[in-house]
Amino acid sequence: MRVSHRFMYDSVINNIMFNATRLAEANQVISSGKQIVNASQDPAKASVILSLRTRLSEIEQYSKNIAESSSWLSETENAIASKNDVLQRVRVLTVQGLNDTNSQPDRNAIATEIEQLLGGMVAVSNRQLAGKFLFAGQNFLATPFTGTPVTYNGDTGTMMREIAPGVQLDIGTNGETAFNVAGASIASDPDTFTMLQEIVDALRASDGTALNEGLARIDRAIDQSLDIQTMIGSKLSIIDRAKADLDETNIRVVALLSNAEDADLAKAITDSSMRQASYEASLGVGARMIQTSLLDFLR
Amino acid sequence: MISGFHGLNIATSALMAYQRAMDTLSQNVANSANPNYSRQRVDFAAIVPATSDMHSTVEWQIGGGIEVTAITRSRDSFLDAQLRLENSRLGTWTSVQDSLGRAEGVFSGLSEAGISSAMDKYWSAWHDLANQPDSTAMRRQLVESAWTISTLLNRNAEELAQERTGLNDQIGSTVTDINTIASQIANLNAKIRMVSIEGATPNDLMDQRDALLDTLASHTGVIVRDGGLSQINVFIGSKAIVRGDLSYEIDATPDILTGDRALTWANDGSPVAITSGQVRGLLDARDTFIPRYQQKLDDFAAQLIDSTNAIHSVGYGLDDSTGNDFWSGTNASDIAVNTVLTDNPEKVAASSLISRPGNNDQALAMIALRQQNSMAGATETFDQFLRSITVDLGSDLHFSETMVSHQSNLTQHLESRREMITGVNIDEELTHMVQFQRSFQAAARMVTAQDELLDTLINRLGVVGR
Repeated sequence: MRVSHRFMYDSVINNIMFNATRLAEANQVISSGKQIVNASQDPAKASVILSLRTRLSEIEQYSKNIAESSSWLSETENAIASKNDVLQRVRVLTVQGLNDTNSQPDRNAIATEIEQLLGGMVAVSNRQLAGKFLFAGQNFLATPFTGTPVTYNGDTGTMMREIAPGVQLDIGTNGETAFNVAGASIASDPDTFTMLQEIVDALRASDGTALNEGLARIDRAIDQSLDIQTMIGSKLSIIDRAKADLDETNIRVVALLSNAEDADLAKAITDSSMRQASYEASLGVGARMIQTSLLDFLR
Repeated sequence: MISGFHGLNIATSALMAYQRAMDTLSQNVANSANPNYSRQRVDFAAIVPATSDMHSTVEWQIGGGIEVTAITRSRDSFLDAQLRLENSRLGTWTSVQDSLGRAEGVFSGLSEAGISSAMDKYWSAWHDLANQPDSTAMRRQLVESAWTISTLLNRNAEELAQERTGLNDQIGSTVTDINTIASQIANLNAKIRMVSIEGATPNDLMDQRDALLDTLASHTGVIVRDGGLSQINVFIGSKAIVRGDLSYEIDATPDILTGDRALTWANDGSPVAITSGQVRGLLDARDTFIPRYQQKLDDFAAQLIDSTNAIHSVGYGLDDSTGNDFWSGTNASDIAVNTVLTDNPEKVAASSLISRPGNNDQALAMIALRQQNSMAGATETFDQFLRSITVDLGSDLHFSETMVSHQSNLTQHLESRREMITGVNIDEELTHMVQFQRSFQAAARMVTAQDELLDTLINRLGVVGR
């Protein structure tokens, strides 16, 4: 084989360039910490990375949705529990009022306490979370229960929240259901506030029949509150399960993404030092190759 | 009867021949680093003794010395043709690779600042609004993330359009180059023909012409045919671009409307059939690759605009406004967030009912849009479609890079094969130098020896007794 000198020089340059490029690639992996920077380096992997990143951002978002839904539900549950506490107290007082040993002034005193509890009940019904009324349906910026007699200004709209792709949960408990406005929960009974007011009136009038009826109504209202609490509880457990799912998926997706995207440093550094060696070898060989010529030996 | 001076003549012919050989060596050594130079070789031949019918019975035949019969280039025209073919294919893919590389740099789909990440943030903003449908802050955040999407789409569309303009400019300048080279080849053909008619071989002119052909072939695939008297004819497709001392121009005037340059023959207006070379790559990038991504971006933008507006315009804003579009525009270049919304974010419609700040039906419908197969004939979601643009561009670029590396290996291999034949090896030249130098010295010594012989004859003969 004939070798021209230009060819020798060219191949020295080509080899040095080739090794320098490969060394630079290995070093880019180390310094960027990423296996690939552009989609063209590995299109299939790029597709995986992009979809995992989208998945991760979805997980983040659904976690946020769940956290917000969860605090709304807990707050609602608290309010219903408070409502129950008030009802329990009213029940005790009503039972006490039914006792024949009580004089009219005693009953009036009980009536006054229940009147105060009625005010407390209105406060519970108007509880807010972050400026939004818990029991107002979709009209949650306006105070839902106002006036005497108390009227409902909210609506029966739902509060749908997406807790997983395509999975929606109604986290709202509207005022009609919670406080039996227009017999929404217990058709035979008036709303909670009217019910309390009627007990107050019955105590003042010493109307035993009405008081007995009131007691029965309170029992039904307590049962219904417990129903609501159970429902909220089951929604919270649905959410908890969704959250657990998300957390688990999150760990998996983060691992997958890291696998696809992050540089294997041990390998990258090994590559780099191997390529460094090849690069130096090509420099050394090149330097020796281009030095010798017949000229060195002709005198 | 051989002349007494015959020996001198022989030695003189040797002196002259080896001097020519040394000159040729000098030229070789001088051009040892010139990539377009082909090594030249001196062909020697012994001068045959004159014979005729009258002297057919001469007993001893002594030749007349040495002469240079030709100085030839070492060149393999088959290898040249092969190399040019592969070089023009390399040119095709190099152009495509360059263009797609720029496009990927701009699109940067894989970057965290790329459009896919922006889209993730946009959907999240709708989620946040669905969680707090009464919030103006969430609306503002949504409008901002939407603005990012539209800006990225606008910028990408703009850059791709710019890329096409750039490609057209490159096509224009490459065609100018092609025309110049063609006329230079035609000029060289004329000179070469002249020298050939005189019976000499214009090696260096032919080298020049070969170098031009190499450049021409990397611009556009050509077919080279022998044109007689050492001339060549060059064809693109079935039409000649160089025929003898004539060259034919290619016209690449840009279209007034689109700015796209169409290549036609200036003499008859027929299209130029370019199948390979840089120009082919530029045309492919301009007509096939870049428009594909442009189309996809436009499809994406148009569908996003339609689907979003259909939901948004029937919803109600916080201020009970309705009938507002979310996006304005129709494609990737002019998509923008409706200015009514950027000025008054409270008009973003999350509710399906008037005066219901707690209603998030429209926001939920937007979220549902994300999972819906809206694109590519209802087979892909917005996210998937957007991803496919990044991946398509990446795959195309990856493929062109593979082709470039394959072709450059091939051309490097062929070039080294050619370099084996045409390249100058200094050691070889130096060895010949020593050889010719010695031969020259010997011939010079022969002159001296002959001179001494003649001296004996002329000055010392017939002087007996003097």
